[in-house]
Amino acid sequence: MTDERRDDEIIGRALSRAIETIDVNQTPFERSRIATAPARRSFFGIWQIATAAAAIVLALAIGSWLMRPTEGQPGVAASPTVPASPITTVAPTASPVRAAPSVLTWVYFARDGLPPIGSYVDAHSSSAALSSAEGRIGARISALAGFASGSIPAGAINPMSLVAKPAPTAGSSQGSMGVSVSVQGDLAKVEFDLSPGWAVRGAAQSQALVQQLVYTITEEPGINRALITEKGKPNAVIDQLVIDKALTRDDVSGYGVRGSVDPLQIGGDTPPARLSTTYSVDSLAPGLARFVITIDDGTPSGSSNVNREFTAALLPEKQATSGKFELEITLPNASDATTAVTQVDRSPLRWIAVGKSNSSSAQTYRLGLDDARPWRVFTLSNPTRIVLDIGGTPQYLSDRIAIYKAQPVAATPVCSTTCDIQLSGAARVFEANVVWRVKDSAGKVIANGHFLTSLGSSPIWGTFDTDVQVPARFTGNVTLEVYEASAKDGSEQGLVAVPLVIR
Amino acid sequence: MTERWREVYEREYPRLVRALLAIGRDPAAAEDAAQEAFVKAHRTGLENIEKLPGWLLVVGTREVFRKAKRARREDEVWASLPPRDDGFDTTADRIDLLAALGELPDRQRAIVVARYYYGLSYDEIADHFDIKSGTVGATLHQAIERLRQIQLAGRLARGAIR
Repeated sequence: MTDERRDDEIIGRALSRAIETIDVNQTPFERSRIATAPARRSFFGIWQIATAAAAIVLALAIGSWLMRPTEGQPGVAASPTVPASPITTVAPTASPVRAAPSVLTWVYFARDGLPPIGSYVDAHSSSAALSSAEGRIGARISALAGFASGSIPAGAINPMSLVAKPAPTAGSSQGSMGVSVSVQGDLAKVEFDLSPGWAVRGAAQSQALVQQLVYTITEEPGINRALITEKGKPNAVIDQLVIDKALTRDDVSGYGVRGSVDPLQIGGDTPPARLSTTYSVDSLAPGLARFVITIDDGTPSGSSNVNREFTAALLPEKQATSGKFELEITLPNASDATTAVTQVDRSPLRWIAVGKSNSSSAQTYRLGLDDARPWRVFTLSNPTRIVLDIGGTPQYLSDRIAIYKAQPVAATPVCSTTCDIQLSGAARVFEANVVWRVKDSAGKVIANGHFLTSLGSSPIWGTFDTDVQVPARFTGNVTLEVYEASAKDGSEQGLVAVPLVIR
Repeated sequence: MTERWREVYEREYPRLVRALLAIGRDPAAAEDAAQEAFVKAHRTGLENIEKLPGWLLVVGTREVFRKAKRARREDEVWASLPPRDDGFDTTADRIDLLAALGELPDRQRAIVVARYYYGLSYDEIADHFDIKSGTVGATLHQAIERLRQIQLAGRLARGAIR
């Protein structure tokens, strides 16, 4: 593809995403004209012939109409629509008056034990302030500070609303709360003027605030690092937390491991296949986005072997206007009937682009992501599926084990013979062998064992859904530890510890 | 049968309305045209339509233009200019792009939406919109070039194009 063509594609894709965010009135099917129209199928023959002919005429008519020379059109400076996220309540039919429209902007809220979650909020700022990167960063922080209530995502908090707000100060790159912003390359320096202090207390609140600020500041396209300082000082001291260097999202996301940037190349068969996809966010485990590609390649049902060639790679996002990384998955000799770009805007999944790769017989999916949180791929059969899981609960992930669910099975009144802990997740360990043990509050091992995942010793992860047993009549706080025992010396690799209460 | 239509409707309707809104810039007309397109598809019958999404887009686009033409005659509806607003990163980019799209000639607008939002191939566009397949690429390039020129160059240059 030539540079010119690629540039065209970039703008085309951005445009497609823009159109996708137009908030439209989705008349339900029940109120649609086809559902409410009198049944016409009884006129079957006549209607069908008449309208089939009409359709051809219509197609021709539109063609010729489109081909005619364009008459002088009054210029229209801006779309009368306000692009909006799915959660917004801004009317799609904003009347063309000269009042400043409310501008929705994407900011982040903090979650306990999870990476921040983004959401659109109203930015009450002047157009002039929003015309520069500095102004927009300042306005986002102001929007957070002024956003005490409203549609904060479920389970999230807004530490910035606690921060005291001194009177606005003058200056071209200053927001409405004593925030000075300067941008150098991919670094945004944000200086806070807070004479009463940060007003957050304790490690949890301080960390939540830093997470929220770093994510929100780096939402600006091209900005990857945020340096937070206090006026007149080279650093910021938020309660006990000293911030003295620029931070990226991945520095503060809470994940102990970063998403692998090594491309994953899986060999296999490539019979022609039709593809379809689904996704979910936060439904299987908190902080987890799942993207599933279903492959219809004529493999007879009942076959349990998935052997399909594909590649997956995590790349820094360079083209899009939202997201910092993108996960790109390519399947040769396969095609998806849809090609649209879907604006998802549910952290960490921002958008999904479906398209042909350079070799036109391959299908490529690109997922726009908030950050480089760890991701993993596994396959399922009947039907054949490739599953990409991005993120999860940071505390329950290591480089080789991801626990999605660990829950004592309810028993009444107490477990009679043994107590079960239901455990599911994914692992990439030697010969699929996962080891577990349960410790009581004193650190004494009260039960242990091992189980197998669906696949071992492979770049593709194996899955597990199993029960582990705790001795009967045991109650109290326990820690379930799950790890790989090194094939070399039996040492614990990739240990994940889950605190639980057995009742 | 109704279930089938419901499925088709729920899948295609939002996208169609968005596309028609991008092409016609009038929300009420876009909804109206989308509904009309479905009524026509319903009358024609699913079994008689190859590639329904493109078909709906073409029929809907024609409805939009027909209404807009009538509206222009009746009233200088486009004379009241919406405010040009300097937006905000992604939101600003979207507003800019949609605004720039609105400044393209009708034909280019429809083809750009068909190509990039609906993902129709050059051949499909040529076929549906009855233009020579050789001119689709050139028209698209011309349209994108204009989009680029109109305002967004600066904004996208900072964030999207590097």
